[in-house]
Amino acid sequence: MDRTDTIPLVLIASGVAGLRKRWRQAIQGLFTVHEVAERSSLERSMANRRPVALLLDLQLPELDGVGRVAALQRLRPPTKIVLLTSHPDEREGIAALKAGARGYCDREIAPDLLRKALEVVQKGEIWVGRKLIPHLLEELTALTEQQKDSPAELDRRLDRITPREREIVHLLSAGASNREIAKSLTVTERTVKAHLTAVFRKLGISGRLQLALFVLEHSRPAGPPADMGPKSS
Amino acid sequence: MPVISIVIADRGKADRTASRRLLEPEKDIRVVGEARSGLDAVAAAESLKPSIMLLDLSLVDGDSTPLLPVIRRKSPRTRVLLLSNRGPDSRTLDGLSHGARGYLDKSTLGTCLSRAVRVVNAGEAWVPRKMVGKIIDRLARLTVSGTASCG
Repeated sequence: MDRTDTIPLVLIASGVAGLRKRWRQAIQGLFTVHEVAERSSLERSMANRRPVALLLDLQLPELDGVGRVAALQRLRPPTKIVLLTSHPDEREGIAALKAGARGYCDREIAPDLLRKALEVVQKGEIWVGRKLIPHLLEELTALTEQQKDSPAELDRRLDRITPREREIVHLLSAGASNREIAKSLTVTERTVKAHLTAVFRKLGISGRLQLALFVLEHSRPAGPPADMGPKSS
Repeated sequence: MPVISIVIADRGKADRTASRRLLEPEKDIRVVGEARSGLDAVAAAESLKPSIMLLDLSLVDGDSTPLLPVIRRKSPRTRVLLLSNRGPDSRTLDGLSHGARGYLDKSTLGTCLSRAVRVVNAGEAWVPRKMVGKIIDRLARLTVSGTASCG
């Protein structure tokens, strides 16, 4: 219908006229641009003008920082939000990305990098500084570990193992094969397998390596030496 | 110049040798050990405490990620760089969630290995840009579920 259908629209939101101008000049020709200087007009334009991307100055008056990003995104989910800030900061960057922003960078970004950032987020990828990524990974690892079972829960699980199963676990963690375990306990390999299946289920683990690691963890010399021991007697 | 010590954990001899050959000419990098199995890798982490462990995601059948927390406890300073010849997939993301600091496709070792080792050793991450979005998606999901279970 009109040219905004063919040339995608980018919304630029900053209270600083000089910044709006610089960002507009950086992307002129590639996008049509609409500028806003405060929050209420940003929200209106976000909903009504259907921008493909929003370049948002985090210091926009009355924005409330990163906390507002999720609400803005809800106004128009397909819009890729790129946050630009006067003081890039790791924690804020992570919070911004978790809130749905697709990019986070210094608002003094060079024009060619700003064009590159828009290109990257348009492809569905993320634009962040390299230095932020290890912090993302640290947080991911910490959250993943939190979801794991507590030592108390593992102890409870160990309690459910029978003395026979415990014997098999120890032989296995010493490197014995099913055949060797069967031989030393004078049972069939099939029985060994059945016991192991029961052990895997009780401990909530999925294979021999995990089991061996589990034993390794629960019998390391640094800790109380008898993590697996006293429970059996 | 401090030397970056490396353990190569890969079940394939040819692949271990290939990585070793790529790293040998580098003056600031020294391969101090190799591991052929998951338990080998844990033992090497504990005894050699390398700066970096190159860990093939196919080191053990099924899932290699349970190794990562154990390696970290045995040698907290060791940073793990995952290797795979299957391209980034859910295992890669699992590995990064369990403490690995980078990921390299085996087809790119020739051009990237020593650089990736130095970058990871310097405390940065080595992940393809395409994976960053997946990392954030998982992070956001875990944050939401974590909050829900606490409140």
